[in-house]
Amino acid sequence: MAEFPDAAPAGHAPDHHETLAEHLTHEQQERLLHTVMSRQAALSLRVSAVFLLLLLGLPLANWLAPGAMNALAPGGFTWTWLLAGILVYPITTLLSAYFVRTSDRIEAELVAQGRGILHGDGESAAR
Amino acid sequence: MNLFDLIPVLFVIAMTAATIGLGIQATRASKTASDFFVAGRSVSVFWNASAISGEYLSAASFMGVAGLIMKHGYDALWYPVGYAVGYLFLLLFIAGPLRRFGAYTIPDFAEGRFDSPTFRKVAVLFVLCIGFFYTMPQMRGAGLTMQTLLGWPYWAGIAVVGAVITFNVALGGMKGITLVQAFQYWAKAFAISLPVFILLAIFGGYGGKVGQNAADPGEAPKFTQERTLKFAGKDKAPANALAFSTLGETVVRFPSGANIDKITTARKPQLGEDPIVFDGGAANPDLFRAQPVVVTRNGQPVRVYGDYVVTAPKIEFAAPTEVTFEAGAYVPNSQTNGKWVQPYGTLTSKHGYPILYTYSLIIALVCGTAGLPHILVRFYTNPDGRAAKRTTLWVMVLLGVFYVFTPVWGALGRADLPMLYANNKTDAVVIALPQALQNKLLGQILVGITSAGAFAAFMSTFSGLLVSMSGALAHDVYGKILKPTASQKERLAAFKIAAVIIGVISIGLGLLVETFDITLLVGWAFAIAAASYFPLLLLGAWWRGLTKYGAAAGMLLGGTLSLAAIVTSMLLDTKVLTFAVSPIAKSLMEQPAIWGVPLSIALMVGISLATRRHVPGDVTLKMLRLHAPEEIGLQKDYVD
Repeated sequence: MAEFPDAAPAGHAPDHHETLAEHLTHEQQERLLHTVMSRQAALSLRVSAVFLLLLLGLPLANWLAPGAMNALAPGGFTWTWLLAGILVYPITTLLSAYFVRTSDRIEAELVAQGRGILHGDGESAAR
Repeated sequence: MNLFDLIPVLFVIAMTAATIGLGIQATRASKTASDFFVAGRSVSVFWNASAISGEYLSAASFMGVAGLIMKHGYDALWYPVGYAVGYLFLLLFIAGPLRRFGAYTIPDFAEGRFDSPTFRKVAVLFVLCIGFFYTMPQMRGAGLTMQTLLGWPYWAGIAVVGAVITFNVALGGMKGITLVQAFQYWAKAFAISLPVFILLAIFGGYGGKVGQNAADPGEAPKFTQERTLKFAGKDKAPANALAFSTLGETVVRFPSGANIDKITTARKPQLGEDPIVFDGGAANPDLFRAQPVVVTRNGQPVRVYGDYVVTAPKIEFAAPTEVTFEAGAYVPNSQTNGKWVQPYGTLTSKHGYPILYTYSLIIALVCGTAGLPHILVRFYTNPDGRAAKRTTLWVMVLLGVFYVFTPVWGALGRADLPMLYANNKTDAVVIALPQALQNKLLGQILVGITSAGAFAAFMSTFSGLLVSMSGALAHDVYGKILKPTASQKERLAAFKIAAVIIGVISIGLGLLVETFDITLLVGWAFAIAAASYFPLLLLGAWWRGLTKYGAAAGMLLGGTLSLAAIVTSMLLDTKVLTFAVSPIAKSLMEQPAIWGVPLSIALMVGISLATRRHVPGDVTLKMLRLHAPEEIGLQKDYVD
């Protein structure tokens, strides 16, 4: 059973992209928007929460546990220097890579869902 | 000048020639207005990521960051960290939606999102303001580098960089500079990293240099041999200061009759403390014995956490003076090893609120990076939103590769060339360190590489700024405000004329800022961007309730109040203004992001809620364009 109501009537599907969305009813637009935004927003918020915890936690750790943070780490560095001077770059890269991969996957699914909403194709819209 | 001294110049000439050559090469493919404004929206992920990184790594990143880390140690690590990780926020919240909206310039987004031509004007104003603040340090860097390398007058380097880049941009626009900027990223990455490997092989390991500071926190760098150094006069204040070490006596010689402006204490005296007067030079006018003194209050020593508070003399010269230091003397203007290597040292603790200062600095850098219009406009050159996200990921990789090397320069400088502290020349560490090598040929080749890298930095950043500002003038001011009926051909001509006008203005502004601090000016641009464009893009992309009134109020007030605070703080530092401010207020003025960004967001939300009926009627459609993947087929190019 289709989760979304039918979109533009058959034969009315426009060739030009810029006019496609205008043919949706307001309610259809809202549904489509909710579908495309909510999962992306949740992903962005999740990754940024992890990132902020790390970024804003480091100064706090420096303040609360100076002994441990300034202790000798591998390579002759102090732990806090190792984190802020070197490891921060691979860590943020990994977070970004995770985000881009997950975001791509979500978008691929959204395309199927979104087309379902636009063309009333029940199979791909019902997920 | 002997033959070796010419080597760096050859490197700089080669870099400049390559820039012109690549620019002309790329220009052949650049014909339509879309090519000029957004490179035909056809730049691949690899090229765009290289070009964005090339444009972003400016004079401040190439020379300034290494110098700041040498000067302030751990505290300054937040600069490269913030400059790089700001792109994560850009990736998470801004890159994809911004590209999908399909504009040409950031003011396009501003108008299109709110259906408000007035708001475009506000946005253009900020593009130009941030652009010029960012341009001035690039120009200054170019002038100073040619002064140091060749002995050219200050204006000559500025004229060369200004003319070359204006030529490239006017000829090829965005498409013309994309290849050049990408090439310049790789040149810079090579120039910051290769010399490091050679220097590390000669001077010893990175970890060891950091670790030796941690192992001996009570010590400070010393002169290894007798040195005579030149000190600046009062016109270069505060760079004319010579603050002696509090660890032991320092004896210095300078010509009798040297023009001393004043002798004060290195540590600012606090209310109620007994005044300290130094007369170290009274007996012998050309010899000064700087001795540490215990600070007292009513005759009793002042203690902090049980330790005596010690200060030392600080000399400020009125005119340029040569000073001779004995071998084994502590290097002035340098903190102890412990303060350098540990968090909450000289940079963040200067006003007594280190945590506040650290967080505010981090917010400014992260949010500022995500709000720089000349960087954001490059995301429009990607074919679609997905490519924009991939591009951002690669930008983070490329920037990480670059920035991870900057602290190495700082640590090497402190360990092996500490005399740069004495006369406030830490900014020049990437050039001075190779110059100090025993092997002069190798040294000059490395100087050549870093100088060429520095030149690539001025040129690529300036070209990006010039495209962004010319785009704002030609597309937004001319094409949208002055003459909306202008044809493609007229817009293209307007772009070229705008590029020349802005190029000339930039050269002029560069000439005015010879005595300014590079990182200071870039800091202004970041503070404005963080409190204006960042909140606009964040809320504009994710909150449909944002109205033009809310957005404009937040941008204008957040941006201008942050700028006002930071400029006032600078005027207090240079003693143009002399009213008293509490240390906490001074911290908040110097680093305004911690209140500026929330203020801007609060204004946007509050005023938008109060003007709710001005939310554009088709806001759902606009939000769909921002977020729906292209394959669904809702996008349209905002401008044809």
